[in-house]
Amino acid sequence: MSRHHLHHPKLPLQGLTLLVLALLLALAFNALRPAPLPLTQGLAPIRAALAKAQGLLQLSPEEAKALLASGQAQFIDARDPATFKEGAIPGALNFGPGLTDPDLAARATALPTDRPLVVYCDGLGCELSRAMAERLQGLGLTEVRLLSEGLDGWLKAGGPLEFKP
Amino acid sequence: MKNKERDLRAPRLDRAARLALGLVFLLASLDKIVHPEGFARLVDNYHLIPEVLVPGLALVLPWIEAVCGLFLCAGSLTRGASLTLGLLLLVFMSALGLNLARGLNVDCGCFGTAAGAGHGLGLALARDAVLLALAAFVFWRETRAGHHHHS
Repeated sequence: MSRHHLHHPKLPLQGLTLLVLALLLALAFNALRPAPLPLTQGLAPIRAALAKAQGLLQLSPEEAKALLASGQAQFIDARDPATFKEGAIPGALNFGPGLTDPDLAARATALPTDRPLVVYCDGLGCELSRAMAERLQGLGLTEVRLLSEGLDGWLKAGGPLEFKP
Repeated sequence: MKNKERDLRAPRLDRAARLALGLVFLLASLDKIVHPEGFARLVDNYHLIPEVLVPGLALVLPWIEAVCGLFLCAGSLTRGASLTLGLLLLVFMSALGLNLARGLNVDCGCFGTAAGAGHGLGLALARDAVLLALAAFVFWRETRAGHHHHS
């Protein structure tokens, strides 16, 4: 029986050993990475790092407002058409998640190539804008930008909305 | 009595199950360990835990999988490892199930086309169920094995 215990620590102790080991290894490897994952600042820095790695430039709501005012950018709403109709950034085109690749390719030919394309969706927790931005980049469009705080950030910054009856 | 007990033992099968479970989790953890940012985004997509906690969880979770997988392959602390992975699988399945249920009447459109996403979640749920059965089997066999220790 004593031999048994020697080779098989009690179950909770086994679990605890494994968890502590995992935690230590995770922290150690994170510290050794060239760019450690920031653990206490939520997801904003992680999103920024991902976007940067993908060559996706992120815009703040203020930068986007300035672009809208100057008329230099084409805004692209990545939400579904029903939500889009309830209110969108003025002049935005709706490129919803339901667009098939051929449809998207056809519609993308009408997009400007010399001006920024600002893609957005609901807010920080929304992945539709990033997905659409990546699809547009995949079609060879280079001037794609991400309004990373989405419509939430836009409205908080006092950005205008346009209703599409 | 001894013979009867011996008849129920199948060390090859036990070892195969243990190695299979260990390898699945070890391999599954590698990409997440190398790309913690991407994994953090995936975790966040579930919308189940507060955003502040996502990076920490995304960092540690793959290491739990890797450590448990490694110990299962090595044949050490196998009961704790199979139990930990089993509990993890239950958590994964709950998360998948919750989002599958949510996806049926999704109104935020956060997950792209609901039909495609739902299909993927269903498959993942089935895969996790198989792994959970495997983990339960390993835990049961390792507990039964008692003092017949793996070298």
